[in-house]
Amino acid sequence: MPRKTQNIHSLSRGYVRSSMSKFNLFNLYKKNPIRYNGRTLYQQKWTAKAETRAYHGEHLTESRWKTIFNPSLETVAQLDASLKGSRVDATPISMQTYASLEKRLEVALFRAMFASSVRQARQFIRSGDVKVNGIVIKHPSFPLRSGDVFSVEPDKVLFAMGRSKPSLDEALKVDRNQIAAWNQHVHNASSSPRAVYELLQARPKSLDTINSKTSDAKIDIQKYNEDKQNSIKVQQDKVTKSFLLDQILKLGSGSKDVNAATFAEFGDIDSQKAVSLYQKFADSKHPLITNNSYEEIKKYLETKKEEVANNDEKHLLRLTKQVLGEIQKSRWETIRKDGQASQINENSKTIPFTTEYFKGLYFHEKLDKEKIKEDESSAKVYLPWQRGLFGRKDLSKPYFTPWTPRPFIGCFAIYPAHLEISFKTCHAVYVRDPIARPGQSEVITPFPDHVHERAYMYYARNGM
Amino acid sequence: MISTRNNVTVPRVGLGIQQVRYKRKLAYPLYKHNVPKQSSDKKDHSTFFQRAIKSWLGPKNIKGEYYRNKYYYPPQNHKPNYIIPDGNSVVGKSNNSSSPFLTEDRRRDSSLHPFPQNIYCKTASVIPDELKSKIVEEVKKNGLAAEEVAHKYGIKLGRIEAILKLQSIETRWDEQNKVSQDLSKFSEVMYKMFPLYQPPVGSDNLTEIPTPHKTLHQRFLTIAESEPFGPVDAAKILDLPVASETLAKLSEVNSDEETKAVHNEVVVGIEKKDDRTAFKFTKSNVGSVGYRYGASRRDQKKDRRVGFDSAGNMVYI
Repeated sequence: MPRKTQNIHSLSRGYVRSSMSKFNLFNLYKKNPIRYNGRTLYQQKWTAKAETRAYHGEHLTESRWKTIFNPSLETVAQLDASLKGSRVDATPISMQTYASLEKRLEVALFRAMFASSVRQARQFIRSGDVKVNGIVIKHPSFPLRSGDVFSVEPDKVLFAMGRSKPSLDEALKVDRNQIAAWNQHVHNASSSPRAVYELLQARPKSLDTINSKTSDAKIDIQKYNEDKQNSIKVQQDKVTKSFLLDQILKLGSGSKDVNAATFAEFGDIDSQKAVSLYQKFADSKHPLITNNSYEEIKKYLETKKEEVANNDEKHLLRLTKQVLGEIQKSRWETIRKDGQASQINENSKTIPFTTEYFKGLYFHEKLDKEKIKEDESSAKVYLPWQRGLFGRKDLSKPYFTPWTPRPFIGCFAIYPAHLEISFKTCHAVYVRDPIARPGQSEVITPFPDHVHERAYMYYARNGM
Repeated sequence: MISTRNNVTVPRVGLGIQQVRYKRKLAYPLYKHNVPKQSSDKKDHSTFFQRAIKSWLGPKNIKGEYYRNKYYYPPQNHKPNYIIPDGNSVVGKSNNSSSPFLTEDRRRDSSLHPFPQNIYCKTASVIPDELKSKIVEEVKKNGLAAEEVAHKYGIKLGRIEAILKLQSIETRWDEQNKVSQDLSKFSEVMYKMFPLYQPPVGSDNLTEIPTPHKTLHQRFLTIAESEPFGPVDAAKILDLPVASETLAKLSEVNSDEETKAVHNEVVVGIEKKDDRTAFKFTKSNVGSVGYRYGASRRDQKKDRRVGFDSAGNMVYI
């Protein structure tokens, strides 16, 4: 049984606890440095032990902790210290005061970020969701030894480290608000797109690191430019020799008087070339003039020089291929130049406004609250950033789906030096007991060394 | 009507003198707090701390996120974003009005030290996935000993062994298709939250040994002023091995160390006709089996020793 407690995250008491609650974060934020001015030694020791015990093994009674406490503190010596030449930092030995707690399974679970507090870790262990070396252990005090592999049921970890799952009412409320806001946006974007565009550009940058990856202007511009680059390639691939010959023959046979104006779309120089080429075909009364289907043209251009017996025809084929090659080259060049001109400078901040900016926006149907409450699977939410009801995509899971990290997780995410964690499988290895070395203590604690020193003095006194 | 004279309290001997040994103070922040006042609404009973945390968390968006609080979303660039309690607003733009009371420790790096008051506590770095697979390859394919890999990449032996264990579990899970979409998202988010291990920066010190207890106490020795005295002499006095020897031992690869099976001699008694008992004798040490007559039991003690059997059940020993 853990120690009974009330209002563990009291803001007026302001103790820092081993938990990832937002209240705890605020307590940590506003925590004042512990001062000893005008206090007797015993008062100092008492304050120090009260503060540290509120964080280390808060769930244990004082008498239980006293049996766990080991006054001989373990540290390490670095043999290459004298070789380095620089001054060696002091070793915070006193920070090992609570090191004997770290080998307990519950604490290791919390340190490995498989539970959001030590008390939650205890719950996971008691409910049989934790294994050590493949065996279910139901005792939170199980002492881990170096090399032990412990694991937690992944659903429990996702529950502990994820956002809490909203109730159906909460999800409906959020979604109705989201849909109303979205429909308003679609309405505004269709009636006054430029104003909405400018409003979007002026919006401050989102702090969301999980979902708003596309909000980065640089990435947007890169994507825009990539699209343009790809379209250049697509357009160039379209301009083949047979395509050009097809165009020339069709334009030529379509008009009575063939001159440069007929091939105006080819440009100044290329139109001359096209005229002369068409004349050659017309003069030799080539069968393609009458039967200029695409397949025939392709077949003609694919024939090799050796396959043609007639000398004049051989000459015509060679000339055709050469002229078409020249036209194709210049056409490719113009496509490339046009495409590159339409790209945006990478240093520019925004994508320029076009009429197509808000293309393809759709209004969302309103949700029928009563019907969804009867049958939740009837809810159809298809917002651009969300499918399914808010946080309730997969109803069988006890956490917010799709999984989203819990609030303020970044402030509590500390990778412990004495554990090796595999988040992908929710397994971790207890590598060794945490140690103190020059300039570092592996026991994770919010308190400085002088507080631990006094707490150690409190517990290491004689006659205990 | 009450006269003003009646309001004057006269201290009486023995009463009214309150001895206050320790007055509990509420945990008000030391920085200059900018907490909104209670609204004029009669029903607003919110306390100072309720209003303080509300203004600290900032506004919520439609989805219920404190979207303007700079600590709400986890960092995803391998650069932790631990708190800096300088009294500046964590919501929106900071106003740079830090209190003169709070001078942040200059040695603190808020992307390395999670707690503002403790610079001895650092977050460890996570080993990149590529390096992990490289380590597995070195051991499994190239046949290197774990000790050699540890020296090569500056990671302690225990951690190398742990990586090998976990990588084998991960490949097994991948083969069995046990990693769900949510789980892979979780691992991805967690991975990007921690600093990456980039050797040689942040590599482990492989010359660490547990501090010998003999060195933790003072030892006095009288020697002549001209007599040279160095670490080797100190080791001799303290009856400890010299550092160079220990270092050489640490860098040795003891791969051919085999665990020797301990054979326990068993004598089985001859079973005779009409015997009700079959005897079997094994060698054992006194004290490790059975109870010694007259010896004190620990079963009444509060720190009664406990152990766990192979099925994970707690047993008293």
